[in-house]
Order: sequence, then C-alpha cells, then structure tokens
Amino acid sequence: MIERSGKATHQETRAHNSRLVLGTIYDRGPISRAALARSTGLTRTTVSDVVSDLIRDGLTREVGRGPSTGGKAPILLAFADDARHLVGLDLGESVFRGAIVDLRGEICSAIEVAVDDRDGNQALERVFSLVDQLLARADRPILGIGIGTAGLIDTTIGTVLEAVNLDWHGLPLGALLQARTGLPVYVTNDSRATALAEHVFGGQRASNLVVVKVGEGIGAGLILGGRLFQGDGFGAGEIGHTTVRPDGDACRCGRLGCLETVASTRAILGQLASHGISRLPDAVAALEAGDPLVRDVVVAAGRQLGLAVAWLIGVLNVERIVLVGSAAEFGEPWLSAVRETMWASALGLLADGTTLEIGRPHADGVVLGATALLMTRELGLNLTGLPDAGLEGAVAGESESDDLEISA
Amino acid sequence: MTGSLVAGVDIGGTKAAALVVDEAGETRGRAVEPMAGRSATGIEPIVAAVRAALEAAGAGDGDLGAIGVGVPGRIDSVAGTVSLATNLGWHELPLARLIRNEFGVPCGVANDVGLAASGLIGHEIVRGARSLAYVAVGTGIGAGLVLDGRLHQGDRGLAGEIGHAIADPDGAVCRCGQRGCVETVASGPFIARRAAAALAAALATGTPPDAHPLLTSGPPITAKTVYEAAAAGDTIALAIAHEAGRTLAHAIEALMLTCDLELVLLGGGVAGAGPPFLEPITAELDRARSASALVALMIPPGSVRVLPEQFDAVARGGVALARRLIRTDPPNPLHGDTEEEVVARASWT
Repeated sequence: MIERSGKATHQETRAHNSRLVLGTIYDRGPISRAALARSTGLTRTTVSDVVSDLIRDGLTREVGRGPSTGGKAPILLAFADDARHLVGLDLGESVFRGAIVDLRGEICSAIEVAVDDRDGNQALERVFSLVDQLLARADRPILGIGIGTAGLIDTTIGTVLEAVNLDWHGLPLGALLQARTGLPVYVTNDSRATALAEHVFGGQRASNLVVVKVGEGIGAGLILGGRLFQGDGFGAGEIGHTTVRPDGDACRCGRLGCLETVASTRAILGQLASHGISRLPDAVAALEAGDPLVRDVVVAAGRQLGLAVAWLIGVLNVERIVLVGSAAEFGEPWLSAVRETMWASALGLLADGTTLEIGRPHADGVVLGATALLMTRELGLNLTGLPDAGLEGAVAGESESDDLEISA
Repeated sequence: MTGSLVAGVDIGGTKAAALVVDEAGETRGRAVEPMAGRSATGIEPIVAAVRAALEAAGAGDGDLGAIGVGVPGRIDSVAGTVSLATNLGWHELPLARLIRNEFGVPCGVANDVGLAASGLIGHEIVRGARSLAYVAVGTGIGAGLVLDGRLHQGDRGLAGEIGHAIADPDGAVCRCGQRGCVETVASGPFIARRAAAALAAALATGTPPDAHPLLTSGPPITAKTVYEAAAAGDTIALAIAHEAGRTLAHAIEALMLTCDLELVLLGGGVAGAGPPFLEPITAELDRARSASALVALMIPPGSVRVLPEQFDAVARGGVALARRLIRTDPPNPLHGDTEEEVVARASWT
C-alpha cells in the first residue's frame, strides 16, 4: 500500500478537519463542541480552533445551550443555512429555470424563461441574462453557480460536449460563466443532477439510487455506493438509446427503435397526434377524463419503461428507483404500468426489495442537484455519505481527502 | 506452518479449475476437475483440482498458504457461505469452512464474476481501465462490475444479473421461470439445446445426417460442438451462434450504455470457443456503431473482447483473494487504502 500519511501538509490537514467538522454540524447539528470531538475523533482543541474559523466565516453559529450532563450546560452549534446563497439553473427542454437556493436546499426565489427556438447562441444569451437577474436578487454572499442541462457533459471542466436540443457542441459553459461572473461554476447532466438532489435532499440517503428522467428523451442518473457514477466518458445512464424494437421508429441518435421512441413523453404525444392531442397538459387532462385511447398509449409506454427499469435493477441491484420528468405528470396509471412490468420482468429476488416512486417536480430536482454539487465542491460537505466525498473523484486532490492523516 | 503458494479456484456448473501461484506471481500449476458425480454438498472436485494443481507445481498441501474461491451465486463473503448457487444446487453451504477443514489454511469465498472483475483491475490486459465488466458466458450468464475502480455489488450483492434480462418475450422458458431470458438464447446448455432441436427438425425434413457431420458425429451436442461446427461452416451451427452473438451483443450494448464502461471482457466456458463465439457479437456491434454516433462513441471498436481461454479470470481473482487472506497488515481506515485494496476489501468483506 502507498503510505501517504506522512505527506499531508499542515494546510491539507486543516482543510480536511474543517470539512469534517462542518459536515458533522450540517448532518447532526445542533451539536456541542464535545460531541463534535467525539464524533470526528479530533481533539477538543482542534475542534475549537476549527469552529472559531467556521463562526468567523458565518457558516456556523452558536444557538444556545444543550442539556447538562453534570457540569456546565454545553453551547450548541448549528449550521447557518442562510450563510450563503447559491444560484441553481435547470436548462430544460422548453423552459430555463433558475433559482436562488440556501444551503439547506430551500428555494428563496425562482425565475422561468420559455425557450422556443433551437439557436445555440440565443440559448447562451438566455443563460447569461437569467444568471444576471438571479445575482441581482441574492442578498447573501454567493457561493457559486450550479447548472443541470440535458446532454453529455464533462463535469470536470464544465463543458457541454453535446446537447442536441440546445444546439451546443463542445461549449465551455462553465468557463464562460466563470469569466463573466467571477464565481465558481459547476455543470452536470440533468438526470444526474436530479439523482444528486434525491440523494442529498430526498430524505433518506440510500447508498444505491437510480433516478430515471422521462421527458423529450430518457436518461438515468446513478448514485452507486453512495457516489454519483458518471462512467468512463460521462455517458453512464444513456438508457434512452438502448434498442427495444429493432424494427421500430427512427430515433434522434440515428438508430431504430430506441427506448426513447416508445417510452418518452415525445413518443406518447407523437402517438396521440392523430387523436388531435399534441400538448402534454391536454394528454394528461384526457387521461384523467378517462379517454381509453390515451390510457392505452400511456400504459403501453409505461410498460416499455418498466422493462428498462427491470433491466436497471438486474444490472445494478438498486433498490430505490425514482421517476421524474414530464411523463411523471401522467401519474398513477403510468406508474402502475411501469411497476407491474418491472415486477413481471425482473428476477423475484431483485424486484421484491425495490421501491419505485415518482419524484419531486423535475425543475426543482435539477436546480437542487446542481447546487448540491456546488456545495460539495465548494464547502467540502460530505453530502454523498462517503468519507471521501468524491462525487466524481475527478478533481485532483479532492477524492483523496481520506488519505490524509488526521492530526489529533 | 503454512506455505508460500496460494490457490485460486473457479467453480463452474460443469467443472472446477484451480490455479496455483507462487510469491512472485508465477503460475506454477493448473488443473481442471469435472463437477459431475459429486455428492449434494460435495466439495470433492474442488479438493481434487487444488491437489492436482499443487502436484503439477511439484508441491503438496504443506506448501499452500491460502485459497480463494469464486462461486456462481449469491455469497455471504464475511461468513464464507454460499447463500444460493442454483446451478450447483447449493443453499447455505459453509464452503470456506469445508475447504479450510480439508487443507488447514485460510479460505475466502466470493461471487465468481465479481471476483474476476476486481481481479482484472490493475492487470496489464485491461490497460488501466477503471470501469469494466467481466461477463461470464457458460452454464449461466452474469457480469461482474467494477465502476470507478470499485466493485459494484448492489444493495443485496445481486448486481450484474444480465443473464435474466428479457431478450425475447416469446422465447423459451428459463430455469429462473421467466420466458426468453438472455440465457435461453446464449448460455451453453441452451445453445446446445437449440442446436439439437434445429438439427432434429432438419433431419425430420429429410436433410441427410452427413450434411451436418460435426453435429451428428456423436451425442450429446454441447456448446463446444456447436462452435466447432460453426467454425467449419455448418449452417445450423452458424445460425445458432449468430443468434447467441446477436443477443449477447444487445445485452453488452445495453450494459455499456447504462454504465459507460471502458471495457467489457468476456470469459467463461462458452466464450472459450474464441473467434466463432466473438465474431457474431462484433458484427452486431459494428452494425450498431455504423447506425449511431452515440453507440460508436460509447462502444468503440476493441472495447468488447474475449479473454484468452487460459486466462482463468475467476481463478486469478481467487489467487488475489487468497493473497489478501495471508497479508499481515490489516487495512487502516485512517491512512486510506490504495485503489486495489478498496476493491479487494469490497470483494470479500
């Protein structure tokens, strides 16, 4: 094994201790200094030093005294949820949504802009304008900007490699926004952002979680072993382009019969066009009114998705699957079709323990996931539930934090 | 006093293969024993394979330091117990203890494909890949996944079940009870069964037996015979091999699109047929690449390969597991572990 402990510099150790303490306060506060020392394994002197710095930076505050265990009642420390504001953007298929978010994932203010064309330059101008408007609304120090967008994204450098709907190809979105605002910018794929949001803010932190986004296209965000998994070339979760009907309709990717061509919202609306329905709200209304044709189309699409979900639980043995995206608006009839097919098509042992649910509204999910990424990177918060907080392990040094010897 | 050699064992549906390796990592002995004829909980073939490999190495029981075993099934690696191995008929079998009692050395047990996949990380054959799958095609079909350098086992250690994904909803009934699983088209027993059925149908319609000399030369037809016949141009065998290859290609493609792996390595008894096994897979993947830029990007040529027949990926993983069992320094969580050790620990704790 490689012995690294001797090489940790004083600065690295300090930064590591600070992240450890801040993360513990975030997850378990209000908490006393003594409890922090017990929980982190650091000495009380080290904890006191770190806490002083955190209070100075406004990230932690003292919130009164806890119950006494014999001596003087201890002062409790809490995370200052409103110490910073974050800008989160969801660059969606037809709407760009931006929000100011606090450190607990509460949305303080939101703006939506309709996007009706496919001009890459115009889309970029819209992003700039949206960010400017949001920054003007923030009344706390800004931590940075987190962005979730459809397409293939190189998260390490914030570059959109390929986003068909927005006409972006190799666009250095992160670098452009960073140059413009002077703020740190993180960009990730929208399905992944939603997965992160579910993982971080969704209540329980399952170590394995798959979020399947069904809208214009179909993609999955994978949290595996408590970490966001992006794959070798940032393409993990491209399940929308698995072939389900080799002689089926042409897909945007160039092939026939991809999952997207039978199970996406676009595919559903495409089939309903001849029925005089072309908009999602009309389709949802017709479904709710009991239109049998709409119901058949929605259920058939749900069944196709159920096969894909069965595949996912077979390959990854993931027991929590969350469905998001515009198709989720079809609600229970659609969800039941997905669930029944999943149960029928996966090995019993695999399907038995699996929960399948519809997630929170898509727009918030992407925004919150993008800001969770930002918080993990900028504050070093251990939001992914693993000691190394390595979301991607892609930023040099960051994923190696657990190699540092803790000075005690 | 234990010895310096370690043994890795690959237990399959039809045979147990053992590899004996010395401290320098050199393979000193190799042996294969059929799994047939054993008693219900019998480990005789495993014991026999290890002893034969030791003998081939010019060594004996006293030279052995530890044993690592890969089993196709659900394993409780901490207890060293096989929770369930359908193809072997094992249920709650304390395999590690049985082997330890026989040889008097530490024994670790792990899922075969996971063991193979984690053992492949760091080997020169994977050229530095951090995300890969080892796909075993034999009596059953399963994948071991290493993602970002970590073995991914899933919530209940069941990840990689690609053999029971539905390939053809109208297909044959699988031993798992479902219809048309990937295994019903591409596993060894089904390849043999499909070839035998196609041959019987051809003979029934008046095709002379000598039109299919390799398939009719002597019962029973096995997957091995089918690929030999395919290599010799037998039309029935070619059709069966083509169907199996196409189905496997679709499963591999879906695996790559789901996990964006750098590499898929195929092993196992059926994959041992080599070129006649790989060619139909490659042809189908080429077709997908030419139709889709996304597939071309995510599954570049050369990213799906067959391991050399003598590579013994599972047994090698067993060797690596055995080495860790005799390692004296326990992992220290405060000092961190190398990537290899993270994988190593995940595979048996």
